[in-house]
Amino acid sequence: MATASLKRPDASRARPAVPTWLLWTVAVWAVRLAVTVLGILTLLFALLHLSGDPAAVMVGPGGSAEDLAKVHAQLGLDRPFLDQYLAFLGDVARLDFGDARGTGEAALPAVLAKLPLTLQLVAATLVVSVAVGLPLGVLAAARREGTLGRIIAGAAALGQAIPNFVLGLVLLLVFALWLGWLPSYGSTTPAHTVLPVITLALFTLARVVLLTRAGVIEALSQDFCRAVVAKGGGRSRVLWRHALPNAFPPVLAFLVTDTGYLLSGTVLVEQLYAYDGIGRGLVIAINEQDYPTVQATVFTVAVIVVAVSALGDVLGRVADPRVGRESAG
Amino acid sequence: MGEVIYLSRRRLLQLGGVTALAMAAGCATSSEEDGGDAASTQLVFASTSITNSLDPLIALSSVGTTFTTQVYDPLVDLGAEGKPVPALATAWKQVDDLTVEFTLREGVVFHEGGAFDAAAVVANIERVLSDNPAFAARKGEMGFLKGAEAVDAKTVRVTTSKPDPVLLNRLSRLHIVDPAVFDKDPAKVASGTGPFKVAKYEPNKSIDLEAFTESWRAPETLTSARLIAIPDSGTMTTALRSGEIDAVFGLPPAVAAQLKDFNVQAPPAGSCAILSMIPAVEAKLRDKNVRTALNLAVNKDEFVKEGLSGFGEVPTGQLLQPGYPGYDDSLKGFGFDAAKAKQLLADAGADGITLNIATTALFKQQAEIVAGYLTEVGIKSEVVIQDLATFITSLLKKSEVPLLYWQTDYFDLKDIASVSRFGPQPEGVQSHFENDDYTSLFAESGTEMDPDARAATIREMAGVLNAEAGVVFLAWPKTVYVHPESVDLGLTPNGNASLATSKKKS
Repeated sequence: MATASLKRPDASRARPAVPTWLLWTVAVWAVRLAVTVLGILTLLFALLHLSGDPAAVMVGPGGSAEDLAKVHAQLGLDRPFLDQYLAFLGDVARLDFGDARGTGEAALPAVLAKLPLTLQLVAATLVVSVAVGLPLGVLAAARREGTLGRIIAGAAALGQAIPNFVLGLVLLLVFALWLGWLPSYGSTTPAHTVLPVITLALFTLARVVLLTRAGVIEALSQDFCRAVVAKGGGRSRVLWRHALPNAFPPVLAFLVTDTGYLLSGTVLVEQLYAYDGIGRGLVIAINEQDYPTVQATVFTVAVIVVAVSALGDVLGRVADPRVGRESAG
Repeated sequence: MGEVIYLSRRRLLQLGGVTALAMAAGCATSSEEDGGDAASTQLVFASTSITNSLDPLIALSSVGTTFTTQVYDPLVDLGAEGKPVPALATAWKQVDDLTVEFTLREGVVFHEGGAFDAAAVVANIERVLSDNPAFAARKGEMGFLKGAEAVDAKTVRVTTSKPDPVLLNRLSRLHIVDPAVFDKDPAKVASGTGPFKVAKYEPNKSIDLEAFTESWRAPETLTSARLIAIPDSGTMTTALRSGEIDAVFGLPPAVAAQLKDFNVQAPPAGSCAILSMIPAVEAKLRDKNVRTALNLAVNKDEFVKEGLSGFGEVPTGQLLQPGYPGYDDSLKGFGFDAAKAKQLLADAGADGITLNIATTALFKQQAEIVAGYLTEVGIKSEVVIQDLATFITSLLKKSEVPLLYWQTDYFDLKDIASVSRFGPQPEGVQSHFENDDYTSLFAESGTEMDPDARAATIREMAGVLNAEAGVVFLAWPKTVYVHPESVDLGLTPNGNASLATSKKKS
């Protein structure tokens, strides 16, 4: 049976099936994930319990003090804080965050059901940013002295400065109201994704353009690019096959970091466009003091952010082998 | 063992590109089609949120009522000026002070096909009286409700533990759910007797409704409707202007006022916007001069104009509006007299006093306007925004802030019984109005069964509250609905949207 063989042509010695650094990376990130999630959930548990009494929301402003005391006891909120915390940790260990208020559904599955829509936004944003940002960044570097290069760099700088809620409102006016091309709210069809993705992507795209431009300019000034040119390599080959791969690691590092910001940025964008992802669900849950949903959402986001960071660490080593060598001594 | 795959930087970029294309393709094809039917007889009704549960025992807020009005029916509804009118019960009679016998409507069926009868009423009353904490607020609205007994299939007797003059008002808040869905979880599966049945429910997002032609109050023209949540008022306005939605509820008054080319309906919300004064936090509030000064310090006309964008009325120095039992048309509001307010504060030795106002984010703007007026007469006042749970705890139990801005509409009984916070309070709970006469009158009104005598008692209460300036009366707010000319949005006498009587021109 044929095995995928993409062995590097100049490799002079066999590599271990699973590199040691990869094992260490996985182990370190597993510990980091556990500590991070525990810390976040502990903080969240404390903050939510200090912020208000969920029994009060269930009783409502029309209730009485006696009703409040009764529901407080029914929910176990009159138990010592430590008892409640330990019970909470036990539930979390079983991935049981309790039932959401209102629907009564288990909180974590309900959050996970909405997760694909949010991930779709984030993934599409990253895709657009890379697919458009890398070529524009290379172009801006190649034409850095020309008008086109200056326009691209200037537009990217401007793109970074526009707050996404302002951009969102402008996009709504133009594309939903004036032109009528796109729906103003919802999340059921691909068309519903367009405006949220543009709103989210502008900042990331602008950063990718500027980072790529800076990286390519720096690479072009280095000896290996000059050597390719001296050997008769075409300009296009130098830019795309030699300069861009060297400019990519900082872009990758930024995208990994930005994924966390994008996940939090979806809260605002999902609210604006009534997009039914976990960000909007989080806002509703906070407003309704729906602790189980808030905790399940934060847990999910924390796991994703830590996992993406770990993946970024691995990809960073691949994209820039010097990282592995340095850490290996 | 196969050979190790070596991933070069170049290959990483190539893989990234392929992944990007795959994701883009996925985005373009993975989503389902919009479930909405674009037929001209569908009406799309938007609000900032939708109910978080299909169970009418849990769906409490105004958006909850918007939903239950279309899908469920109570035994008795509230008509014009809060008068009980037949719904699932066509007649009723008071058997004794603790018992009311209802004659049920014939030929009514639930959405799932079962017949509506006395057993269904008994099952619903037993359900609300259960100890499920999720039903706590609704159970609280039921007052002295004790139980129900089926006399025959179409006759049911409802009993209370004490005489309850507003039992019918309370039962207007109890929508009858098909007992057949009790086991399926009514939070997710709806079956009522209303003009629409639920076709699809996506929590926090939308509820698709289909006309239920077998309903005793079947829709006049609409074949379907959709309730949707659009949290951002700017987006909601854009969707209304672009024709994506047909009617909205819950727009901030200032935004609604800007929609000049749309129809605006603003029925009374049946509430009173007030400032509660807590003497336990600031002893000076026990001084009638200080309380009167606060009432005189606020220009109520301007408050309605600026704080509510005109969607409200200036109260006549009492909580209840005209037409409600016990409304006293001889009472007058406090007017606006900043000079006199300053004088009264000086007389009370309270000039320069600090009186902060607690409220929720929803009422921030209105509370800030009030704080501005108080500052004008020399009171140091800032607005303290509390999350809903904290504010409710402040309201029901103990506040650290001397003034609370709120609206008394939460109970929605259209009766003074809904404003229980000024009545007798258990030990350890702060009083919002320390007046023995008022609290004893409140208790009396709660059990007085003779309507005229009860109205007289409520008028007396209004007189005491007014004479003692026991609360700062600010406005009788209105509920705001906005829709284009092409939509005729029906409203119930109670001020709720009625899709069954709504029409949409094609």
